[in-house]
Amino acid sequence: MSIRMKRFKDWLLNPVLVKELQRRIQSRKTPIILFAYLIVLGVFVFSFFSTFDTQSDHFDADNSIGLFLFLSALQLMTAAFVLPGLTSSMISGEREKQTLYILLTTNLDSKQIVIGKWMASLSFMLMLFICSLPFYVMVYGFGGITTWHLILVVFHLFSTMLFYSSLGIFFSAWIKRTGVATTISYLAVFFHGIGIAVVGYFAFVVGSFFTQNLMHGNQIPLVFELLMAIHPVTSLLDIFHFMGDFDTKIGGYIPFYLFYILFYFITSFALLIAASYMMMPHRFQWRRREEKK
Amino acid sequence: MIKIEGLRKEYKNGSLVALDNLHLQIEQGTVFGFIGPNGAGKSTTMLILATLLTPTSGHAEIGGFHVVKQGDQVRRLIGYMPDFFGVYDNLTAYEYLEFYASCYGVDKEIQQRVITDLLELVNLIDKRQQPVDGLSRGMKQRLGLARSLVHDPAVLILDEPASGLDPRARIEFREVLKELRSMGKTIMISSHILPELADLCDTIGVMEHGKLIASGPVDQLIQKPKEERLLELRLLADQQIEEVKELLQADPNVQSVEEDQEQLLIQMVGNEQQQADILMNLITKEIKVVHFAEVSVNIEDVFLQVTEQREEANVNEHSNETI
Repeated sequence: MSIRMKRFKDWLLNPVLVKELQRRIQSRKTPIILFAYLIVLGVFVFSFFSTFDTQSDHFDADNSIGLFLFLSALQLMTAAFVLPGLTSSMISGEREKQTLYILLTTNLDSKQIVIGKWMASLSFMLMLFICSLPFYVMVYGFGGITTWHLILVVFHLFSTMLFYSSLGIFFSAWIKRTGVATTISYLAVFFHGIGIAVVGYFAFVVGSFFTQNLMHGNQIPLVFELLMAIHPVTSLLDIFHFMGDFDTKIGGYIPFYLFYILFYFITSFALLIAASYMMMPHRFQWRRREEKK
Repeated sequence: MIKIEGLRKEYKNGSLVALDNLHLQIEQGTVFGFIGPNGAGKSTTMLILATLLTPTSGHAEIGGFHVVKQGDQVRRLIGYMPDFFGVYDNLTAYEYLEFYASCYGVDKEIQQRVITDLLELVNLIDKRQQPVDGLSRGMKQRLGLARSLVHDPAVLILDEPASGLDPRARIEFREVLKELRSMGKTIMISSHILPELADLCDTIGVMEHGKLIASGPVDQLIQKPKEERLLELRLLADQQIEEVKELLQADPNVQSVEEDQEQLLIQMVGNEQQQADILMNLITKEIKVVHFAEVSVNIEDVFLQVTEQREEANVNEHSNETI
């Protein structure tokens, strides 16, 4: 391993991450949450299986895709419920416990603290996801889903998880009180799931008023396309081409799901940078710059 | 070791000035005590030196490194202990120090030895496996001090480290600080308990309303008001106190004489020779003196005197402006 790689590894696997992971693993809540999550998932999946026609000599692939989509939507909902709660207290909690100042006087920089906290919460969600993989494999075994579908769904889910956790960390760094940071994080996630759909619906209605034949061809307004592309459900449906007659390409080129994955990767990165900036004691101040001028 | 020049810190767009044109220099290996009422600017100064706050203007450096521009280097040099700090409740005392040792980049191979040494230094070795949140406040403070020493910093910045401690814990804490002083650490310490600083500090600085109104070696500051002396005089029971009072008041160096329970308090101006002359005068008049001593001036007196002088100066300035 080159020196540069070793430095990066040391930077990434910093004491904050190690401590948070230890705390998470040692917590009594962790196995309970994991157990409850798998039980709920198992009940849904096996209930779905029981509705399949076992007498028939052939298997309808649509059933499998439906179950796969259902599983993915369930994972998205879990991420929406779990991640803001986990991450929104990460920095503000340190501030409230009066440990943040001490941490900031160590050799760790604010980026390392943010990345450590973020990776710890993300790894918990990833653990839930990895533990649920056997269910995906079972559904995958029924056929109807290609490996490409599987990869895209995993990337879609992963980008959503990155976004939700970064959002929580950002509000946690920005807002001093944990209660407020948590509420705003959940409101932001709610807007992501419901708000964008509502705004998109109105954009569609307004668009329909001005444009005939909106469901066919390339006449959808760009705003509406973007809103559809950044919505978790519509972009997920797009992976399986479940969007009916809509043209599901931004400007006719970029598929919704690809735009979604790229958009949230970049947004998450920007939110993490912003969070570490918020934590820096010596931040750029417009007022002072103006005074100097 | 620590150099501050024209440091200023404003809050709320300049409507609140926490620090105003602060100049200060602390030599290597000395213990500097910061005295001042709440809101005087002590904690603000310490936060700036700990790289946790940006000054509005001015310059501060530690070990030749600028606290804003070279924060990383400064952080390696300092151990900071805030007035209030929390602990991670899920860690033991040993794990707590181990975590911070890792944060400071202390080598894994020497961590165990360093932590054991520090726990011994702060007398917490028998509590090493106890959860941190189960420790008493005094123990937490000592653990906090051990934490600030985990990377062997040259400079310690301790903001009110003894606040909220009971007398025993305070004495124990002071003993640890004395040991650190003997190790040659440069220590900057603030406290409300003024006598606590007197026998610990080499130099002190008195702050008020964001300004350093007096600073220098403790001995010098205590010597300053010594031209004015307060003497205690106790006589044998059968002595005529009124006669003695008249005799004392006749002395040109005596400013006032007051009765205080069973003794007289003599306010005089002069040196030790004049003080001895007063006693000689009493004895030659066959007055039976049981106790005659100067009331020692301590750091609290210095603080009160300095702040009172300033208050008087402000009042005069204000009245002149009104006129």
